[in-house]
Amino acid sequence: MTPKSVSAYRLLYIYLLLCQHGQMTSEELFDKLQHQLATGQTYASETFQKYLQTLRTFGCRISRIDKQGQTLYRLEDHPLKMSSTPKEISALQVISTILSAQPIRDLYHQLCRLCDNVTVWNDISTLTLPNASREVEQFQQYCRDGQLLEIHYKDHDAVPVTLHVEPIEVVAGKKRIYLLGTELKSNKKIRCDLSRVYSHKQLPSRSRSQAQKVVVTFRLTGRLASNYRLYPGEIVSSREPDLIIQHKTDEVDQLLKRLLKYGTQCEVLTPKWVRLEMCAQIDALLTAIEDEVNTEQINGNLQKWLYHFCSPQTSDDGGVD
Amino acid sequence: MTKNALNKTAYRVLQLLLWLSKEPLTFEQINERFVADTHIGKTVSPDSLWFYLNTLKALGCKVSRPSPRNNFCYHIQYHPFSYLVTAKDLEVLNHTLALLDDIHYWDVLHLNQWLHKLFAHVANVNRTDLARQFFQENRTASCQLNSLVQQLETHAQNHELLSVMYNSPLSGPEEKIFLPQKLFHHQNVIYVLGHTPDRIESSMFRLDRIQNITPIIQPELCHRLLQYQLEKPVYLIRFLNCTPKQYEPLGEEEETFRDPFKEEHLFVKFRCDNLFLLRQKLLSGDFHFQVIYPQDFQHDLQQTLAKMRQLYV
Repeated sequence: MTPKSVSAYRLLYIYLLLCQHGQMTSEELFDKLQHQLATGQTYASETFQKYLQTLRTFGCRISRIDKQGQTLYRLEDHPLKMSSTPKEISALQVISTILSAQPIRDLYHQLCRLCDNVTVWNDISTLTLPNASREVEQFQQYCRDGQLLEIHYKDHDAVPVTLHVEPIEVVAGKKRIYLLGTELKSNKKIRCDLSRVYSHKQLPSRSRSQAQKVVVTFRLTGRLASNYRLYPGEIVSSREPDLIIQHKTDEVDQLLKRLLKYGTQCEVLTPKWVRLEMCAQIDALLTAIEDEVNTEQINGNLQKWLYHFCSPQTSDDGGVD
Repeated sequence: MTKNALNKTAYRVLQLLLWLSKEPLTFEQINERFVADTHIGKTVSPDSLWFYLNTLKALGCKVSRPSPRNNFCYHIQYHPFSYLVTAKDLEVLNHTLALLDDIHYWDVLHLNQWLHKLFAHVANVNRTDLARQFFQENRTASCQLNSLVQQLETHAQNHELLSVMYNSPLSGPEEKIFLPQKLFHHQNVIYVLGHTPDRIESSMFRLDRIQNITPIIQPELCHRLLQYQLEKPVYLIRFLNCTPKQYEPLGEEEETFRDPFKEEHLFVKFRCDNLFLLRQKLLSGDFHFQVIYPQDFQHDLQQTLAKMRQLYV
């Protein structure tokens, strides 16, 4: 074995553990040290304190927290921590502020913890918004319980539907909150917009069903085919003459929403039920857009008002007389 | 602090780690620093230095030895004394990147710069593969774009006409005459929006495909293209079964008001200069919609949907 300084090695190994874990209880720390071949011996408390003092002299900021009978050592800052420029820190602060304004703050807290461990920065978000609503908390509890839910829901066309869902997770969009779950009948993963749920109840049973992942194959043509960048879970099945992509997912609805935006440059090939689903979604959009009702209803004064409202010349100076 | 409260050998190894990870140093330069340090205050022998470096190597550091090629310097090329990125951290970063549509493109660039630095710095043994996978799965703006962004911002502000060498994925490099209007980002890719002489509608170029820009002087053409930009068209869309609370702004200049006939619907007026993105956002949105104004756009979307439907006959 190459000669090395054993005491320096032991001390730096403690430093390494604190870097990689951020914080550790004394028990965890001693356990790891004893199981490491090169340091495999017990540490006298005095020696350990001397090591910590050396690390502090070197510039490490190590705090000691006594909590519930355990001593926690946390590496707050150290000279080898990644340095970030003021502009990078400012970008992180902007992002944390956006995340802190979301009704579910899990992502905000996780990102802050990551940034704290990696670099020196200050979170400046003010957390002025109230915490998650009682409704959100209730659905989060349902997810923890894992029991089936009966959800009465209004779909796109405001038609009431009843769903039996095994809840997985509550997730936040920009403005809306969704319940992610496995729908019992179709065994598909779905996203329910909570603002569309008008009643629900927890059932005294569990299904333990798991949404099956589906491989959806779609064809891309034209400009999109030459520019396309693969998303996670995608592979290229063929490049000639068109680009054929295989996408493995358990959230088909989310995939179809993305594919719709590609317009005529995308066609779902298989499986048949996903192809039919895509077709149904296009039909629904077409029906809505071709609906004559809007032109009939928007008549008389309203039409005149809308004309002025939309006119670029009048909209800036106050609109109609 | 008492004299005995410091493990001096370990302290010397720690300082060596700090210095050599920042810059390459010769044996003499290292000793100068040891002498200058108040806790050390003396030189070390070559054998001791070799001993300290072996300790660092045993902990996972990669140390380059002095040779004529590196001016006889010692340098730590990699050390593991940083953060270990977990699968959960990657998930957090993935989710964060998916929510960045509301931030300024400069923040996107700086965040991306920070992410590259993070992956180069983490303690994971497979950090190169980890970084490759992360940047492949997430669209991120290139770190090299800062200077181009600054130039384009200035040209757009001064209404300066440009000759742009653009590497089109379809037709390869081609020269375009272009009046830049503004920069924006979509899904972490930075674009410049503006007008070309061959079309009234706006065009957008991905910044990472621009090879070169040169200002050109053609006052008449510049004036004509500027007129297109000043006439920012208005679109009126009615979202069906959508309340103001449910509506998520599409990131355009927009005003919302309830449908006076049917309260469950929502009118949104857009002042939009990027029809391509508006069309994409409407098609992939959460609500069915009707185009009230202008009729051209209504027909355009109807035709697009009809053609999409034809694919499934």
